[in-house]
Amino acid sequence: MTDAPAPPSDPTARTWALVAVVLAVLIGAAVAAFTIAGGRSDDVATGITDLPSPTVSGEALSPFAGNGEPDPSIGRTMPLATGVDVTGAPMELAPTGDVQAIVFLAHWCPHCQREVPAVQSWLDQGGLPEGTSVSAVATAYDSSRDNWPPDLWLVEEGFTPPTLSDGANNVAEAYGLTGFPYWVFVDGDGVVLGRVAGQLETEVLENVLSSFAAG
Amino acid sequence: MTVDTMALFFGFLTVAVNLLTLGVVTSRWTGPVGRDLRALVQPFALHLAALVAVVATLGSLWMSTGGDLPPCRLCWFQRTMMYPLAVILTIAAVRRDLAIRWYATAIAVLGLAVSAYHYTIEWLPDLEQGSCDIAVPCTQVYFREFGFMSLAYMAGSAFLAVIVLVQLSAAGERTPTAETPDALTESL
Repeated sequence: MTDAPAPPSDPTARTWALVAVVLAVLIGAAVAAFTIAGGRSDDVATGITDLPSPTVSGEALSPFAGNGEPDPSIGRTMPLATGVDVTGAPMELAPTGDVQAIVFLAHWCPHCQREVPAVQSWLDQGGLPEGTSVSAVATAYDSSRDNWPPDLWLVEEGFTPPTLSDGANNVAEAYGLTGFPYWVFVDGDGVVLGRVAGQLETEVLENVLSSFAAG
Repeated sequence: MTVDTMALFFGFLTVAVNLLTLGVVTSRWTGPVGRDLRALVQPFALHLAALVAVVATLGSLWMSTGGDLPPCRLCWFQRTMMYPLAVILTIAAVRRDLAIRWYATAIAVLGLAVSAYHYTIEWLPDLEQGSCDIAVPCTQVYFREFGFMSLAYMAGSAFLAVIVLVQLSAAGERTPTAETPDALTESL
């Protein structure tokens, strides 16, 4: 076993030795970063940003407060949205005749990242009550944020509910979104039954949908 | 320069800072290597602490301006700790004012506590709240270099390094050597 070389005893030499080490670290980090990052190709070209923004009609709901006060948007009619889903296929957000749960998702939101697989697992296990359905809106796109792009994320999660692509956030604004994930419940005629921001346990979601379906 | 490149650059620097911090903290138990490290770093510990704070400050500013990554609420709290550290540590390093250790440590401990909380809720978002703010939620992560190194981790590493380095500089004052005479003794 050999001892490590002793540091220079001359204060001037020691100063220069430390300066050299600091410069080497800074330059080494810069060279390594440019070399490695230059070789990366993380621009996933899925075309999600090229999808057309939905057109929205109808009166917008008020911004969701979620402060425990009665929600003024309950009883109002849902805004209608026509656009394409995240795969580019035509899609409409409109009354379906069933009680509908509409969930607004942001790819970068960790709560949405947890909600999606939980809801999908619940759907796979047949948890959806009779006479109800789930739709989704992918919104708040930001390629500089985590978990980009949203379409790839949803495909990887095997998310099956029809998901409207809302790249310009106009559907989110029309529904009064103030936080993610954001749930809006409407009846078969499109009348708003309730709204909530935040992750919902699937048991709660199932109970809410059951009670709305039962009238 | 892209965010990816700069994140990797600061990621490598964070690794270096983590190794320096670990080396200094464990130097009492690592025999001659630890002693040599302390002997090399101790006279310049204040300068290194200032350098860490300045680089962290510049990195933070670049991420929000050049990188266009808006800071969240907890990021702002950490900024309010790091930015003054960059100024006062630089002045203290130039003036060789070891009394700065009390002020710098107090600020850096607060910053480290915020960073630790921020890093924790990045992995366990339910600890803060059940939903994401529509603008810039603190639970969202812009990147995780090497799978774990987020901006909060980098900031926490800088705060910890500042604490360790300013304490090391003060240890130099308490343990005079031939090359680093006790300032208090000299002044008397």
